[in-house]
Amino acid sequence: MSGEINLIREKHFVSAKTESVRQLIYRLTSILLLLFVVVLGGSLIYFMKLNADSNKLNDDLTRVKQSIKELQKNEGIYMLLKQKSSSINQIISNRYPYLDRFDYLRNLENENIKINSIALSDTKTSAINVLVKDSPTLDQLTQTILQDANLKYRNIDIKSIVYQVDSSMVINLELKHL
Amino acid sequence: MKIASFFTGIIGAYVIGFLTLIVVVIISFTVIIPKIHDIQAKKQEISENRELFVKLERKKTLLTSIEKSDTVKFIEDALLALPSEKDAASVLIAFRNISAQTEFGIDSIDLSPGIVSTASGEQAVLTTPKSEKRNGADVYPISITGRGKINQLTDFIRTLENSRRLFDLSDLRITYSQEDHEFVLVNMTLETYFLPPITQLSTIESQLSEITPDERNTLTKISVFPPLSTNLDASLTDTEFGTNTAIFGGQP
Repeated sequence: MSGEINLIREKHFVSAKTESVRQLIYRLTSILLLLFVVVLGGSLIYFMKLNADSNKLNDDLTRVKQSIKELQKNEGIYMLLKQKSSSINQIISNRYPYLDRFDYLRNLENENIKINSIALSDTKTSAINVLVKDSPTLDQLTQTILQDANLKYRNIDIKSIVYQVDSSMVINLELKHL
Repeated sequence: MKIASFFTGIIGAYVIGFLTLIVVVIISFTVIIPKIHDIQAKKQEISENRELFVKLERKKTLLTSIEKSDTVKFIEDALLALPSEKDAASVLIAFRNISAQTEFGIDSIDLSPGIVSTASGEQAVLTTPKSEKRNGADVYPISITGRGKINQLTDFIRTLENSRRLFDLSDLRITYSQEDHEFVLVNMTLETYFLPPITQLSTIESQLSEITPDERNTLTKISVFPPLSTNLDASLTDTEFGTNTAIFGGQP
């Protein structure tokens, strides 16, 4: 009778390759579990921290809102001041330079040019009625005005010329400013 | 023993690995991923609240600044410059004072503020159909005729423009006297402003519109303008002021 008798019962003989695979699986499983625990724990801890920050911020917000509620009377005054200051600023900024225009026009006067009337309007139109002594004086007057024409005026119109008995002229000029 | 030997075997290893993977996946989907969404939402909420907090702190600082003395002065000056009501009386006082100061004579004043009081004596609703708006405020027109020397006229206009009660010239017609070329007759149309106050406050969380540096500079500028629309000299009488008035559009 031949045959082997194995005195070591229920012993499994595992090959080296199988053993290494088994070790690898357990190692990977451990790493996976470790990573999982780290991620789960980290996210929970981070969320708790954010909650704490949020609660503190909410407390600060409540506090500042309460302060603002107590300052409601001041808010009315501030809004009033803002409303007025905005409008005042517009009024001052948009003022038409009457005195500058007036000074310019009255400085056209000399011994040969006499102003009868000046009209100024915030629609950027000036009108002047002048008595000029003669034609050369009229040329001189128009040349003076035309000198600054490009910088100052959109239109310069001579509306009328009325000859007087003594060869002087009454001129109506209209200037439209830029 | 069979169970123990099962798990020590290769099949057991695979089973353990697979079960672990299943557990990790299930917990990831049920706990970690929702938690990540919660974290993102919480961060967004914190970011918004932080922004709101900064704005509200700024609002609180602005509201507290009202109590400072220079801000109180600004408020007084702004109310004088741009009253909340039509206040025709202060307009007349201003012209009287400017006329007296510059010695430019006013022959007539014609102003049409519209309703200044209701029949019950209460203040009228502050806007009327005649009220126009310009530069963000309500306006009503005033016509003045006057006379004086040219330098008195220029002083009058300059003083008008530098009066703390705000007026704007809209039309100026100057006729030179034939007898004395330094003497002029003037018709001018002015506009005077008033601005009814805001009556409704915003919510606590809404931001205040801040006063800009330009606006602050303008308030500083007008604070040095003389307050000509208050009674400066009680000794001035109506006869010194002018011969004719046509208040509220009536004939002089």
